[in-house]
Amino acid sequence: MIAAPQKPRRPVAAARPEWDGWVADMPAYGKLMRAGEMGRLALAVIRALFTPRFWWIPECLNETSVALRRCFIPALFAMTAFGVGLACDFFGGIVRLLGTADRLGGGIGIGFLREPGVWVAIMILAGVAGSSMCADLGARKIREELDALKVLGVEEMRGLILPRVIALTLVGPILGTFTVFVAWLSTYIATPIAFHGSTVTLAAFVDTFKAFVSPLDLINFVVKLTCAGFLVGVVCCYKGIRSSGGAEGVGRAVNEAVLISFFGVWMINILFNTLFLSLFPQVSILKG
Amino acid sequence: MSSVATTELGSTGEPEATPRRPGRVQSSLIEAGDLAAFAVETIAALRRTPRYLSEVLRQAAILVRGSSLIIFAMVTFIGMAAVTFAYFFLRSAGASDYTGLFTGIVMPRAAVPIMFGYVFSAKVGCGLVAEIGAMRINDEIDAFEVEGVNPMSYVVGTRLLGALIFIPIAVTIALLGGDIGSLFQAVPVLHATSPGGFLHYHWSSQNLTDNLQAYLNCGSMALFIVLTSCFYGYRASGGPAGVGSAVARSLLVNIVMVHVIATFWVFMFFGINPNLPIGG
Repeated sequence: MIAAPQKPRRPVAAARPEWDGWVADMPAYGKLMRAGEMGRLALAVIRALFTPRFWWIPECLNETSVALRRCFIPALFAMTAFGVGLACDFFGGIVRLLGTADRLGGGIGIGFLREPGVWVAIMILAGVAGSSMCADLGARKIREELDALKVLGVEEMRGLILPRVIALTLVGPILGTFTVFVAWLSTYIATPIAFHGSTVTLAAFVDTFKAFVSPLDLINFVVKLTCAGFLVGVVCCYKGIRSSGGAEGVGRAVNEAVLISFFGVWMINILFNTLFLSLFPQVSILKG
Repeated sequence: MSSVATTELGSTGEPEATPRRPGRVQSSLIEAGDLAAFAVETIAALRRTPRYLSEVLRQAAILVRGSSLIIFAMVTFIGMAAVTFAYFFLRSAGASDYTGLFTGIVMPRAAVPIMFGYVFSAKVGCGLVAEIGAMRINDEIDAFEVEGVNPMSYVVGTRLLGALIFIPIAVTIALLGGDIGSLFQAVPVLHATSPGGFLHYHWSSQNLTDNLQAYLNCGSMALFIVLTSCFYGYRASGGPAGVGSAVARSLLVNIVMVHVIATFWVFMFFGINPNLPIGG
């Protein structure tokens, strides 16, 4: 099924418990089973990543490039709208009314690193790259191409799953960096237009920006996006290779993959931010 | 994007007269025009939809039963995220009592609509594309036409009206979820303020206009998402792979447009006058 076992294991049926009867009929049982299988797939991916035979690396780079080229343009559009509209107009309005309009640059700098840059990058990653990857794998599964590959002797883990999961794991931070850069640039361009005639100057923007953004924030950002990209990759590959039931099955697989990735990514985001800001309170000291 | 775009856009069903395929920009524009034509056609077909009232109610019931809980849960997450950012940002200025002020301003104006758009496009939009795309692949849409039922009225129109019934319920659930999530993160988790202090600032910093804007914002997003999803499902072709790529394509359009629509409404309502209850 997932990881090709090296030694013969216990058959799956024997591992199922006796209380199978009524518990297995509950809808939550199937969901828990699938969650467990996703976790197993994640562990198998990590194990295969560090065991030799690295012939999957060119395929992985290829997938990374495809995913990045898919995501760049949507990320650019989404983030420009978000940056100019919501951050500059809105956050800027709040900051100006509080009388600290010169702090806009710093606030936008760390704000995008902590929250909206992460969401937008990951939503684009899951919604554009992850969903098309899941659709591709699901269509191959339905057309029995995956079984044909298995018959040909191509290992499913290293041939299909590992390059895709690692590709999305790499795309996470790269796309996130791009998104945050777009956000900073768009707000930097929009600031003199939106705040014409007030105390917000480009020099003050850059000055507080440099004072606020700290390396710890950047590290948190990259680690969070790497974890989120790995999660999206595992979920999308799992849902793709386990899809069944014809055309509607593929559609439903993509739907569930996107929904589970969104949910998981938000949980990762909240956990990371709460822990990070509590453990390193020095990052939120107002400087400049 | 390229592979999806080229497989989707060139195929109009009849043999191509011109040998040259349209470029990427040109095909995107053609697609946008098709989408606009589809939307107009749907609205024109809506006048025959009320005769399928039971189907409309069934679609609304599917949405209420299947999507309410996930919308509530995800909006709770964004409430928690907003409080996490606001508390640590304001605490450094010594103003952590005002966490409720930040959530009260930001939740109905920006955070809830954006999260609503994400969840709606992932749960409802993708589901519609998968369902209608499978109907198209299995020739069920053509079967409706043969039977004399207009599929634009019966398949697309009923889903649009069902979503229209669902929108007020969903936005109310989303706004409540945002309040509950931010309260949960502020009081029991982070101990930012007292519950009374949090709720005082949270409610006193939003007014009817903000919440009206949330309803309009979420409603226009939901209608756009339903129309786009029906469009991509309706024109799906090429077997299971076609349905999969249609879902992916619709999600691309939806996610980008969620940001654009949210920004549009924020500019419409608060572009000139932020209308903030600070400083008089």
